[in-house]
Amino acid sequence: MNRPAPAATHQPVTTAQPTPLLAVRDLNVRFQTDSGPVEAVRELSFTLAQGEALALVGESGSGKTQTAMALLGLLADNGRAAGTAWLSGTSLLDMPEAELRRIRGARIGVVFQDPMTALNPYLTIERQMTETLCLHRGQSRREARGAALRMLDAVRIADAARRLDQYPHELSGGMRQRVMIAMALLPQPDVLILDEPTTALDVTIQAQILDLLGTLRRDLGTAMLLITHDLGVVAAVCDRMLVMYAGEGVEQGPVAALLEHPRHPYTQGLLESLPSRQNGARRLATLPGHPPDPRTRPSGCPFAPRCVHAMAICATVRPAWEDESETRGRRCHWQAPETGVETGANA
Amino acid sequence: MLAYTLRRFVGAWPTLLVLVTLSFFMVRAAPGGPFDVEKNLPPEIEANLAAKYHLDEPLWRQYLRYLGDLARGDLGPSFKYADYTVNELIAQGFPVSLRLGLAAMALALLIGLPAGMLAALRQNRPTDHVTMALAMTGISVPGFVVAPLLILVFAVGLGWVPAGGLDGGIRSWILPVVALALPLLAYIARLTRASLIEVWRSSFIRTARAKGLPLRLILLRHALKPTLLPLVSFLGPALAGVITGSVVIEAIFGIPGLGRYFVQGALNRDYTLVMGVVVFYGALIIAFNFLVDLLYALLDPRVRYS
Amino acid sequence: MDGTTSGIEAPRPVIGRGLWSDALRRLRRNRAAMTSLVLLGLLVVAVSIGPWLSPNAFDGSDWDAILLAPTWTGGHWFGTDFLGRDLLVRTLHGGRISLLVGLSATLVSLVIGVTWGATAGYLGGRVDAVMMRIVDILYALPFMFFVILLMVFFGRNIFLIFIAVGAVNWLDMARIVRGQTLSLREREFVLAAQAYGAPGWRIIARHIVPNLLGVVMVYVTLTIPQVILVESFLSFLGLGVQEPYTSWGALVNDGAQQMEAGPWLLVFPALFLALTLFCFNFLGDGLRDALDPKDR
Repeated sequence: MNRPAPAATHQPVTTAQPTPLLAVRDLNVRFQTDSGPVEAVRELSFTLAQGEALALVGESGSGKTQTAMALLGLLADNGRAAGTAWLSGTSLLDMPEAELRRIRGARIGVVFQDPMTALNPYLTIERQMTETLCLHRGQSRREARGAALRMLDAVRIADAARRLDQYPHELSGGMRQRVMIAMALLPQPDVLILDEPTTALDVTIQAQILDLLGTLRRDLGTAMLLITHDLGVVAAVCDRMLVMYAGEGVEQGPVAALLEHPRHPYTQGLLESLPSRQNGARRLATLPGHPPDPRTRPSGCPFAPRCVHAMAICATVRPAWEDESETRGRRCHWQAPETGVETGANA
Repeated sequence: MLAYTLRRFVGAWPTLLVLVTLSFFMVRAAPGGPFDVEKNLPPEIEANLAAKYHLDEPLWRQYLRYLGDLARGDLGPSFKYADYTVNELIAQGFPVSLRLGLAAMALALLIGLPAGMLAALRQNRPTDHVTMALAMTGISVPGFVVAPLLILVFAVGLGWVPAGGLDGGIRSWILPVVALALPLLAYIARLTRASLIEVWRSSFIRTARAKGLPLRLILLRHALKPTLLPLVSFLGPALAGVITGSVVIEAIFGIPGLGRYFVQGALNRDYTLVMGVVVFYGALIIAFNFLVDLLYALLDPRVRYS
Repeated sequence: MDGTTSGIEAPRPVIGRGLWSDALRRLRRNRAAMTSLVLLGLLVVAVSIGPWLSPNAFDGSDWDAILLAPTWTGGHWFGTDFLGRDLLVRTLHGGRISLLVGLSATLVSLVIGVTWGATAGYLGGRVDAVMMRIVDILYALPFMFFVILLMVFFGRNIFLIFIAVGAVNWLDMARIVRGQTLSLREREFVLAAQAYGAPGWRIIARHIVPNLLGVVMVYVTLTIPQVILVESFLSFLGLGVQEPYTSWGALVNDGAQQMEAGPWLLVFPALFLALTLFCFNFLGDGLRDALDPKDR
């Protein structure tokens, strides 16, 4: 896959923003395991404005999914979230379950990454799509069915009426993911969280889904939180991105800016490991080593063991988050050059 | 769906054939004829009896004759009770066993299902542990142990119910039904619990939770069917278990059901009766399995279209 | 780029945990399973050496001591039966028979089941289909009835009991083993072994069998109680071991008949039988939970 070129339509978020839709500050997610407490997410902060699309980027195990689960109150029994998370002025993390249930689906929608199994095989598509409307918006089955039909059209599923009466196994993977998206958007939530929405799909279908997401965003104005490890997805859909490593946010900023001029060694590494047409046939660069075991978190910066620019201080002192401008920020000791790191592909 | 039904239907017959053949040859291969138990008879009478019951013909002839009779639904005369045919004996004994078995199954489902679901929802908490310990007891303690103990406590000790026989009206059914139902109940509870725990971890349950559905709705609309499906598969073996268990329960409580006839027949070397019961019960199980397969297909949309 | 030390250190070594040690840890933490294991151990010791330690013989009738209730003094801790035989010794002796039959019949089940299942699973295709169809057919038959017929018609030979009882239970084992073998066959490590030219038997021995062990162990532990149950059932019907030998099932039968004269005759053997089955079931459950990582 080519090194992603940011889509021309995306503008960096301006600073003159009203109160953000979603504001997360110092989110901590901890699990109690047999081997002791494990921190999956550490001091994560980000905001999401109305209609904005933010990407949470990182390798598997970087804590991206747990962040989303924490916001929805869907952590496993042995998980605890700390910090603050505000949805238009309501605090999410200490909300009682009954209230959370009213938020789930209605104000925050979720699309999970496994369309093959995320739909109930024993219920019809209609049943699964309409139940949120009937529950959260008090609509009748008939009204809800009408809305579902329209939404299926919006996600470009042909023959929608017939599909509604079918069971999930009668639809292809791509169609099922569209249904998931439609299902999540039906109650018109303020925020749509998408966890690896295209990972399980073929490349050609991926492109269609991403295109669809872009259109929907434009038409419905839903804010999106896109969790992914695929920079191509980020470039295609998102305005801003937050790079995560070992449960921490390491760099944040507008997608275009970060992709062209990354200022954190990890972001740089991610970009360098993408094959690029401009470089001709050259060995793929990889980041040596692996992310740290969350059970044995070392002191200092978690990326230090793998970092090309690591200094003595990196092993002992964990870098604090710095906002470098109104739109960018990062967590690193190393002084990156002003224009960002030269990635090999730029040459 | 039609193709599935036909396939299952056709597949049931070889099983039946194997059943019939096996029981025929096993019974015939046993040492000692049906009349050995009685005092030695003069050879002419023995020969006459042998001729009357076709015992003098070659084995394969007897087999074919038997198959022919079976096809007509005739299970032959009882060797022991000369005035009765096997059909009549079965007609006498089966309704009793049927009532016993159905009552036991109903009780087992009525208590086992909710118990299992409760245990699953309160997984690893005291309710779960207690329920599962009880269930384990139910499975581990065999019927012929439970039944006498129950009699000891409730009939002999407390005198609430009669110790045996069916003369006491409804009261006399209580202990036998409970004794027969217990292991089944325990198994159903365990199965339901395991099933619900498994289903609860599914991706689609996570989706349902993420949609903000209340617990009751998730349980009843999303989780119930997939939870109950393994139980449907279990119904076949459950029936077989009830049939087997009834043999003992009927013996202990002195209930004149088919199980008792069978044991008597075995001890009396009543060939035809014994074979008749085996074939009858076997056919019943096979037919029941067939119906269960159909039920499963009706419930699971994925199977229907395969 | 900027002349400082290379930041690439060797990552801290992760203490790896093999499948078995992981499973052992989980099993050890299962209190019910551990207790069961201990109890079973004690039981085996008791039935093995108990009868030798006792002054009473299991078949020694004592006409002066008929139907005595259990007492601490007088040497009959469990009481006596209608022939004056000491119940404790008889219970322990019966335990020998029950456990012995249980283990041997399970062995029969194991051998038939594993061979059948592994062959079907490994060979796959037509052979597998036919073999499993046979299993399906046999599964539908009311086996208990056949066993009863066997015992009635062919006499109460102890070897026949092993085989009959074992033959009833191998179907489940075969199914499980076949399923496991099928999935193992497709796993990457088998394909990898085939790719570098390892011969079939070696693949089976090095890769498939160790992975079968876990599943087989669970099922053996769960089959033993079923088999003991079948044997007790037969003995209860009077079709099991012959007098004067006895088993728990026969003792329960005797006890049930003498219930009003001496409830201890029923209670003690029933207790031993139930407890043993209990322990095996708990242990089997514990093993299953310990070896199945997704069950966490």
